[in-house]
Amino acid sequence: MATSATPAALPLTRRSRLSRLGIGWRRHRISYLLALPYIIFMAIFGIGPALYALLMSFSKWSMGTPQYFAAGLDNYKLAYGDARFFQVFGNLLEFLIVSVPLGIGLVVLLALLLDMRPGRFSSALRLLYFIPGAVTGPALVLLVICILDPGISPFGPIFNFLGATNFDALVFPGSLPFVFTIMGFFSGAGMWIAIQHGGLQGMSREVLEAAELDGCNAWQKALYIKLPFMRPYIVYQTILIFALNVQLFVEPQLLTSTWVQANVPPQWAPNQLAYSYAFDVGNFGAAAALSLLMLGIGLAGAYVLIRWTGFFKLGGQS
Amino acid sequence: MKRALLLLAAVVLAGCSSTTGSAAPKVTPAPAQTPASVSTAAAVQSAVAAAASANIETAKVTDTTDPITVWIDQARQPVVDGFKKKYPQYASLVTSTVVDRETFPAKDLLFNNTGSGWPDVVFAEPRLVGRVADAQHSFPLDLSTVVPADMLKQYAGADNCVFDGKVYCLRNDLAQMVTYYNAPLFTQFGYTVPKTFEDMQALSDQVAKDHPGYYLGTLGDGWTWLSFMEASGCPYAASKSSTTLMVNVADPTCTRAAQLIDHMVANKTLWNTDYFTASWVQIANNNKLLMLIAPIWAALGTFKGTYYCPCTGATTKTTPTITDKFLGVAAPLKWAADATAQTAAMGGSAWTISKHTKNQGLAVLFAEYATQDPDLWNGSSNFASWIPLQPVFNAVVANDPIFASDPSAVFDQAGTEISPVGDAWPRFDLIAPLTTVVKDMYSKKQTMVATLPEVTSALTPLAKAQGYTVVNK
Repeated sequence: MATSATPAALPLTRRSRLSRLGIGWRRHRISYLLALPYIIFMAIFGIGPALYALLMSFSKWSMGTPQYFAAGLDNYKLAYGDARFFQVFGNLLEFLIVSVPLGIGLVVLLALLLDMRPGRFSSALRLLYFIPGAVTGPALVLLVICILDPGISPFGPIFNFLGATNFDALVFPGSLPFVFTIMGFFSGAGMWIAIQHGGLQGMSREVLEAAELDGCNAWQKALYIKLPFMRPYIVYQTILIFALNVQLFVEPQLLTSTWVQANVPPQWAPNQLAYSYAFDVGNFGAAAALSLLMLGIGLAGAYVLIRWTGFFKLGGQS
Repeated sequence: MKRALLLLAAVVLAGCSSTTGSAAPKVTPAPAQTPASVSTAAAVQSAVAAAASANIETAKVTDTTDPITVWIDQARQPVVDGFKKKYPQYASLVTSTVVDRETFPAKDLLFNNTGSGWPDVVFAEPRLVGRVADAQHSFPLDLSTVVPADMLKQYAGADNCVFDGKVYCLRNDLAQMVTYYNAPLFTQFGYTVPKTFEDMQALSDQVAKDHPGYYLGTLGDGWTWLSFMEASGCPYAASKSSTTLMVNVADPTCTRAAQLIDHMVANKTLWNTDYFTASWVQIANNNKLLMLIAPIWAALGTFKGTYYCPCTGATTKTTPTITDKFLGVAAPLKWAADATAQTAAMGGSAWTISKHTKNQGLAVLFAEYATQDPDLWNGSSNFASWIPLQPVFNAVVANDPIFASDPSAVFDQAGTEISPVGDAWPRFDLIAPLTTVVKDMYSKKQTMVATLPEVTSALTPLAKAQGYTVVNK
């Protein structure tokens, strides 16, 4: 009986699954169409290169041309066994510990402050916060170099008073996580303040009025009403800032260049180590092995945050 | 992209500071050519005539009309212009590109991947040529097959162009370090110019006691560090073979140099930056620079116009002027226990030719012209590697009013004393990691003796990544 029942049931299930798919496709066709340009570009510039890196990481490079699958795990052993491997990831960890909470905390604080007293003054301030964002990464590095060199900095007298009489006294391995945090904050904070503040603008005024009627003062309103409202935006910012900061490259690379010669190890961040393997040594395989690890860290970070905070669920509900 | 960033860096820094803006010579140690002064014209003319009497170019340009691309730095533009003027029939075939040559090994790898795009002729130091000579890069053409052996013999310092028995470049110039001193100050203070590093240490104590605030040198980056270490014969990065590198900073030769450094840092006769920072230039401008170990091109490229004025820096009434016969030149210092002196080199470049070139004859002719043409080299501040040209440089310096006496004999001698580490570098950059070591010493307020092990930990991973086996003995 059982054997005869099963064939009877199977086509049914299949048909219903197919029809469900069909309905899903018809219903969501336009969404897929809208997502298509993004998917194409992600395939070309994201997934494609990642797969290519995976292929390269098992390749051997001699005489300039790759021999696929000739290296086995040698590239991984070389890159992950490098004496600099733990140094650069240690450096990165320090940088992330400093930069992510500090960057997000300050942005949220400033956005909330801007929203406390809406008016012409706060719009002017918002514009002011946004201006440093116009200075892009490399130029910003140079700007910070000028500011941190007591010989030429407008804050030179203060630095001298504090006992820092030259650039090396302010920029050295121990201070780098903070230096890079400052650089990152000034290039990115303006945009994030605008986003967070923009998010607050969209908040229901009725809720706020209700809170005021219940006797909330401005700080309580910020802490208990606005902050929970901002949560998905903060998670979103955390994911992006984390992914961006893991990819730290330009700042330390410029500082170690022959033009600046700051007291920075030649390979300070993992990306620099990968770059060095690719372009100093010519071992694209080891560089690919490191790059894949970086990709893994970025993806894992995003996954953990999304799962942990239920980011997309929240987004769906609101 | 990276070059654009670096150029941007240079422009912005030049705008905001002379501290870092004047760092340009660090990557282009061979400075721009300066015209010979009128007073030396006659002597130079005869030297040029003598050099020209030997017919130099031998390369056979065949009928091919394939163009060549030449990679140069800004200061080498006159070479390209001069070549086009001398050989108008090939002028349309030569394209030049100004590049940051530190990126040459990286770019070569990219061209290897795509199978096209290589430059035909590149101006680069032998240390960079060495980095493109391995199997991955596989860039240079073996010149022993295309340049006659008796011509190759006439390049001084040509050994550093030889890798595994193959000649991969033609030397352009040598950049041996010599001992510069301030002749009027030495006379005024009644000091004798040191001949050994022991003399130098004794002199430093005397200066510290009698004339504090005067300096006998500087130590602030990789170059200034190796100016002491290589003079002592310290095997901090000695290539044993193409796969074995000795990093042995525990060697007594390293310790004695480090002790000298510590002694002179402690008695404040050694400044703490590289040659080009505003603070060090200020010391020179204030006429507090007594002595300095620096490369040959510094005489006309840095002392003239940067340390001694008219110059771009701030002047005071004590600033030496370039016509006052201030600059004495003495032989490289040696250690009393050593039989002969050794000296470091900072720069000293070469021309290398791609094995992928489609017009070998023209490429070789260009490299020969660049290294040998007497009209081109007339008035250059660089010390030519091509031996028949060296009288031209000597005639220029012999009569230059910056020098207290004719330095040409000292320059010639020093050219033969370049240390084996000199410019036979391993296949990775030494300056950036060594600069980090030096700066770490200052920031941790340690001695150089205590900091030496950091050299091993800084260089070892770089060497291993390049496939070297690192040995410490």
